[in-house]
Amino acid sequence: MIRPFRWVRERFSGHIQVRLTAYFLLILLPLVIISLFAVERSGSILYDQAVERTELALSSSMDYIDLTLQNIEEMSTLIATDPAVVQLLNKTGPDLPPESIVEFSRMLKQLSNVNSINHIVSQISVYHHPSHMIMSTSYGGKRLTLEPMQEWMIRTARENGSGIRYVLAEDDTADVPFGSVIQTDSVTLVRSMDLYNANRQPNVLMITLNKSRLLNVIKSLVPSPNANIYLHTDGGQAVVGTGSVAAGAGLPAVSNKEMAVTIDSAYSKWHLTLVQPKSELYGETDKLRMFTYIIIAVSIVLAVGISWVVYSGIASPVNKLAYGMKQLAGGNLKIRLKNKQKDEFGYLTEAFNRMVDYQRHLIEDHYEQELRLLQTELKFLQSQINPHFLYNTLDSIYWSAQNYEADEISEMVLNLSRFFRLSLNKGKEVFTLQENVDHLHYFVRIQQIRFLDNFEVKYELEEAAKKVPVLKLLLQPLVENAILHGMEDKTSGGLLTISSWIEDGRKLLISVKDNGPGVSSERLAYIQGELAGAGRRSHRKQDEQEIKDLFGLRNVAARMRLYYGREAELAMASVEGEGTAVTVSLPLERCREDIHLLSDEVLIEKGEKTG
Amino acid sequence: MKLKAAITLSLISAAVTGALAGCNAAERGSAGKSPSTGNPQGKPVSIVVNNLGMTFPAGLDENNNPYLSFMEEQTGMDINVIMPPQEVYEEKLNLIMSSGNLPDMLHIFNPVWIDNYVRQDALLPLDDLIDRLGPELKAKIPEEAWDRVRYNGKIYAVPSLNEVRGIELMYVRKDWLDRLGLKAPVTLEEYYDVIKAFTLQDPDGNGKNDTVGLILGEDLTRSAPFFGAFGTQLDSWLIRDGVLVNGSVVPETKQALAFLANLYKEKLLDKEFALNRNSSMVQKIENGTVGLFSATWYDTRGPIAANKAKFPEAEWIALEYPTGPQGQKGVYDKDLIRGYNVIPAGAADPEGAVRLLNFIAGEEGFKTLKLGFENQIWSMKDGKMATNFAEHDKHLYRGIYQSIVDVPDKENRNKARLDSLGDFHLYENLKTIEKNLIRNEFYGSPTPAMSRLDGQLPDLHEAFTRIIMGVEPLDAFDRYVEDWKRAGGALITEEVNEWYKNRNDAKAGGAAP
Repeated sequence: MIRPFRWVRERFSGHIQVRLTAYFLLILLPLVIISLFAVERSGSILYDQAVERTELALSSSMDYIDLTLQNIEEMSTLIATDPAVVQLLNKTGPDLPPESIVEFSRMLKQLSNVNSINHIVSQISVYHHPSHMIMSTSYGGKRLTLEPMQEWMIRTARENGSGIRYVLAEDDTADVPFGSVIQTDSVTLVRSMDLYNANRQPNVLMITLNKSRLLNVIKSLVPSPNANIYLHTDGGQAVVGTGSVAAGAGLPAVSNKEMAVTIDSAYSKWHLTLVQPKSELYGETDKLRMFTYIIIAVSIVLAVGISWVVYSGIASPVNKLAYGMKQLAGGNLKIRLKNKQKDEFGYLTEAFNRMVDYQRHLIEDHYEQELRLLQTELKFLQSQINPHFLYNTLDSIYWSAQNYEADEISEMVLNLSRFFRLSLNKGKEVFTLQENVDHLHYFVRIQQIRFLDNFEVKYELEEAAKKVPVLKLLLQPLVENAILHGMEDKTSGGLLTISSWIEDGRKLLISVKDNGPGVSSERLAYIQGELAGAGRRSHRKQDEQEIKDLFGLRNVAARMRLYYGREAELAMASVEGEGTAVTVSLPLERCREDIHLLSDEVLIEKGEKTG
Repeated sequence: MKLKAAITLSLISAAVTGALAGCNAAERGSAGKSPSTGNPQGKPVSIVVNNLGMTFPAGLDENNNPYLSFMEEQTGMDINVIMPPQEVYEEKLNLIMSSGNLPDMLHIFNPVWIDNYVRQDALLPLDDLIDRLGPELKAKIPEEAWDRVRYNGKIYAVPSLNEVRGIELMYVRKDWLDRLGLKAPVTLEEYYDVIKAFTLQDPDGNGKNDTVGLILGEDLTRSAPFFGAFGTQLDSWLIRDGVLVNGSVVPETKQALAFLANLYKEKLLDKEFALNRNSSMVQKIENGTVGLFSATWYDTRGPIAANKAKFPEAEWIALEYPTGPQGQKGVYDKDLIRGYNVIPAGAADPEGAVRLLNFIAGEEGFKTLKLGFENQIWSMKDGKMATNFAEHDKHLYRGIYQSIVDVPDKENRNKARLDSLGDFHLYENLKTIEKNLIRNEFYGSPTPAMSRLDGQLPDLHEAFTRIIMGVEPLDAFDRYVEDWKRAGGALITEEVNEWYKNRNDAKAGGAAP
């Protein structure tokens, strides 16, 4: 029980489509309920009206039947008290002389005339007790030879008195059904003749009703071939009926599927019952109901359909985006979502595509940078193998120079040794500017000795700048350039100025300046152009093939950009014949001890993985 | 996406509308009438006929039934049947005749009606049409019948003949005759002997005096052959010396009453015959009380068959009609003509009407309409015709069309049909009757006095019953006749003779206004 519920809830909360469909159906719900209610209600109204209408029709027919019965009863009174008839019956004995026969024949004709007036009477019969002759308008005269039947006639005449009794053809009168005696299958009014005479003979008057006419009277009420109508006596015996019910049987059994309306007569106490299958009554509403069901079904289909349409309008781009995200998360940076939509989802998809593009570029950049880094690291590692050997060698040289008192050599070797020691210092990347400059000085010393002290070096460092951590060896290529290009041709008077100051509190500026020959303006423009491009994009090809010059500058620019971002600048100024100044401008906020490459760590990892 | 949704929606709605429309179409289809076959003229032949009190099975009506379709198919005509209610049939015909919209044919039972409209020149003479289009009519309808529809020497109606010309003939139990050593009676005396023997000599051999020699019914039914033996029939108009007289009041009737009264006096007649209505009489025949009676031609299927079922030894044979002292015999007839077909002057398609009549009288039409469809209502088994009674009764309505022009059956197909109903000698009976008819010479509609005095004239039947039963002497007959004449019988006789004269004049061509 709980499981399906949970399943439904999961479906509901997990799928927009399910939710959407449910909402649509929810909107339909009141309409469905209303229409079903209307159908039900109209059905019951129809039923009530049908019952009412039927009752009305039945009671008017019942009235007619009552009237007919009343009429027949009056007729029976007239015959039973007709002096001529009574006298004829009374005076005629058991032996029928021709005169009596002729009289009876005439009486029969009279009865026939009476009979023909009343169309609902099928036959009028008179039982003459003394001669046991039954004279019927339908079949003429016949002697009643059955003794029990004769007795029944006498009994009936006595018991009835002046009253009236209805006898059905099926009624067992005296071992034989009553109908066989007077040859009828219908209901018969039975009463004794000579009503006003207390000492009357047991002569009996029988007026038989015309079953088919009686049936026709009530049959017109039957609204359909499947409906049935029954007329029952006060004793509940069927007189006539359209159904298959046997005459004389009791009230018809009424099933649930049928409507039965019964009207009881006030006068005769007879019952008129109409039984009609309910399905017929509901024919119209059934049609209505069917239409309602169809419309409901169509609505549900539409609701599901529309929700599907709406959902697919929303969900498919969302799904596409989700797919794109998944692909991206799986490392597929080449994913590109097709997009034809112009709505918000189109915009989102477009944005996603752009984002992926951007991401890809970013990652490619990082990857490359990392690769480059690894390359430089590798170079350093290579050079790291040598230092121990170098130290030892340099040590030996130093001591040999001491031995031979070659002071210059020993100093050079000492400085070289110190320079290397710092350069290869255990991977530490950052030193204070002061330390950097100290370290640089070893290099400068070597160069001074090399160039026979033809230039001087001057350090102009602001106190505040001295403490600023700067990437190691950042300045070395610049100083090397200044010495090589600026001091080479000088025999004396060369001046190399290394200065540093903090500008605006945001930037650390380091300048390497020489008073060498300077650079021609074309060359300067080229260099400046190259520098501007260097940090922006670097390709391996460029590295290997195109970079044949400016290696030092490119190196510095690349490293600056890698560690200090785009705000770091490398500027070169030169006046031909006066000297060249290269200025490094670093954003102070990035000059930290824990400086690292400018990238997201995650992406670096990715880069390593893909690498 | 939105476009797709729109298409989906419109598709669904189209499907729903389509389904609803389908429902409607189906309803219309079932309600619609199947188209009838067209005729060359383009307009249906409209005929006015009487329904003869017949009804159609559920779902069929006068313009939609297999027999009408058969007729339309065979003639290539579209037939429109107009069927006024039976109760007001003639009034309706008058209405139709006075309307502007005349049918192509009307069926009428009253010759006076035709006299009337012939005088008004409202009917079309048919000689030419019948010569051209009615070979079957010409061949099958006897001259006697044609003669009755001629005015000024021209035929104005196509008569339809009565299939049955008479009703009664004598039947006797041959096993009783044989038991008593009697031969089949022919003369009235021989009949008397048989009646006497059947009463007194215990013809059934059960040792009880429980038989009667002859049975009659209330109102002297089943007595006609005995009046016939004296050359008269009750309620029939006979020609005596060139004028019509009522058979009930001629002196011969008194002689016949004397014969019957004598039988009753000798207790040879059923004592209570005055109380015999049909079913009690039939019961007496069934129960073996009677061995001789005037049977209807179809009683062999009824009481005689019932009696045979009860008494296997019973053997019934038809007798010759009792021949009276003057050698006279016979029974009342039914009119030769049962109806007339006329074509109003100005009918749109008189040729179509005649062709239709010719078809009905013709071979194919007569056979199918009379007998019903072969293998549905009847079929031939071992060279004999067998009838499916359920189907036969269901399609009795075909008689409405057949009776438009009923003609004598030259090929004894009626015999085959009647024989197919069983071994009841029905056809033989009819033939016997036809040979012994005493014609009722008045076949017009009731005269004014007849209608006016209906029920007021003395009941001669009752009076005659009293005379036969001996309640009154034979001479009372003359008194009753006088009473009858005074009460209007004379007037009626006068009117009837006037009609007779008019008829003769009309036929001779001198139709006086």
